[in-house]
Amino acid sequence: MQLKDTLRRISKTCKTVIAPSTQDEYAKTQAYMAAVVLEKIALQIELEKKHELQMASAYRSLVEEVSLILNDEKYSKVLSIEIQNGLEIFSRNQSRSGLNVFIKQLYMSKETLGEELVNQIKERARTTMRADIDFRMEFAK
Amino acid sequence: METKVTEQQILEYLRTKIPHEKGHRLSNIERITVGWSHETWLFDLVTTVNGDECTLPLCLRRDPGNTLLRNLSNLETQFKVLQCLEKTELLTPKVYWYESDTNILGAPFLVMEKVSGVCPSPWGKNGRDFYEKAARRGVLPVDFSKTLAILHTLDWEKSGLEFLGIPSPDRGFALAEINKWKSLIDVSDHQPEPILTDLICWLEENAPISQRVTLVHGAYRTGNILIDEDKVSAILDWELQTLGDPMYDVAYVLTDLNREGTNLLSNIVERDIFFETYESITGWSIDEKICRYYDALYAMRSVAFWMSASGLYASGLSDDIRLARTAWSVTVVLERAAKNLGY
Repeated sequence: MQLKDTLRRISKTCKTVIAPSTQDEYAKTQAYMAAVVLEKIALQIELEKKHELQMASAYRSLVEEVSLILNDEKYSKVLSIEIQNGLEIFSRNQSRSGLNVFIKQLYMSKETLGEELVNQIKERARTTMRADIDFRMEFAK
Repeated sequence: METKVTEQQILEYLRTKIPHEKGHRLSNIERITVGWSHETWLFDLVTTVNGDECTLPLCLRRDPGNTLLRNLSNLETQFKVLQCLEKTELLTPKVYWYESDTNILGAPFLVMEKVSGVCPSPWGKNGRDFYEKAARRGVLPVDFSKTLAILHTLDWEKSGLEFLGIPSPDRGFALAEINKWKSLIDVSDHQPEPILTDLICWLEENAPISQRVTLVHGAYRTGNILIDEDKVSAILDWELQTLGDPMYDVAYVLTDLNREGTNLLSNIVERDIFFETYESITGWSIDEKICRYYDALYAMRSVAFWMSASGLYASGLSDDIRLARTAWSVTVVLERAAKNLGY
């Protein structure tokens, strides 16, 4: 039996055995809530691998596309240390946490990069963030 | 972890406060279990004066030290605010005592008047039915709107509320709120969220200039007001109050965060009635653009709440599994925030 299936079994036990036989109202609510939480973790485990693979590819594409934009000669004079550091960190750590650093640095670089370029990169990054949150909503709802 | 408080401890404390009366006992004791805020007990203190039995309806709130707002809310401030508001026409519970001495009930607490009325939760079917019927009768929607206008037009300087801190001019209020919720996010020890960072940076860049400074409740909605015979009998939940832009409260009434399956604002009032009542009493126009900004700020605040709540469970500061459930609420609110930002 896989971990997700075991969690679902425990969730069912909480919901159908433990909660109904618990007299205390607070403890009963806790048992029902434990069932909900375990079910969510089970679903998250089930979808996690697929999510990780798809997001790894999405982050890779984002790094490549942003690098292409920023490496364009016409922007060579406006590249700030912040945005270069941000992109470097994100390139090394292609994850939600790496993207988080990049977004921070992007906003900090607005004066040097100019609004148009920042918006262009931000819109591209937002496509990736939307894909991530859509995946996560599958088990969050 | 929670320290239990007994009826006997409460009674012993009250005997020290009203020693000249005899035969103290508590009746109609009710422990409110909803919310992740301060613990609340409602009861009647029954005493005998000159052979006659007297009843004093009371409410005791205790800070267990692990509330969702952590150090952003404390009972001493709540006590002071309610003391100041007693002198105004705003309907609030009268406060009697505040005790910081943790030897009495294991944590700081305050005792205040138990005001008559009901406070149905708008998130359940019964609550929604209650507000829907009250909306049809038409008295409560107007009173709900009028009460917010009274709150915003009271003279906070004269009432002694400056201690809440006057925000810096221009964009000071919005930026202070952002910083407040950032501090809660920081102590929650949650993994980085790029959508949240995007939202915070956007909020900082677009912070509006406040047109005026008023008392702001911070969570004015059904569920946080007490209702008696279709009228607001008291405004409750004085935990997020501040001095700042009144549009912050107005935005909370307008937001769809506070209504479920209905077009009625805060489940009680039609948009036109709210605008008409509020604007005619205050003499101000509701700035919907600024309200939309504050709606996005509420998304940030909600993320901060849920990160704090799930963090309390994860770190072992609370054993309430309902808090663990809120880890997924962070995702739901972030999704909404992304929509607010246009993606």
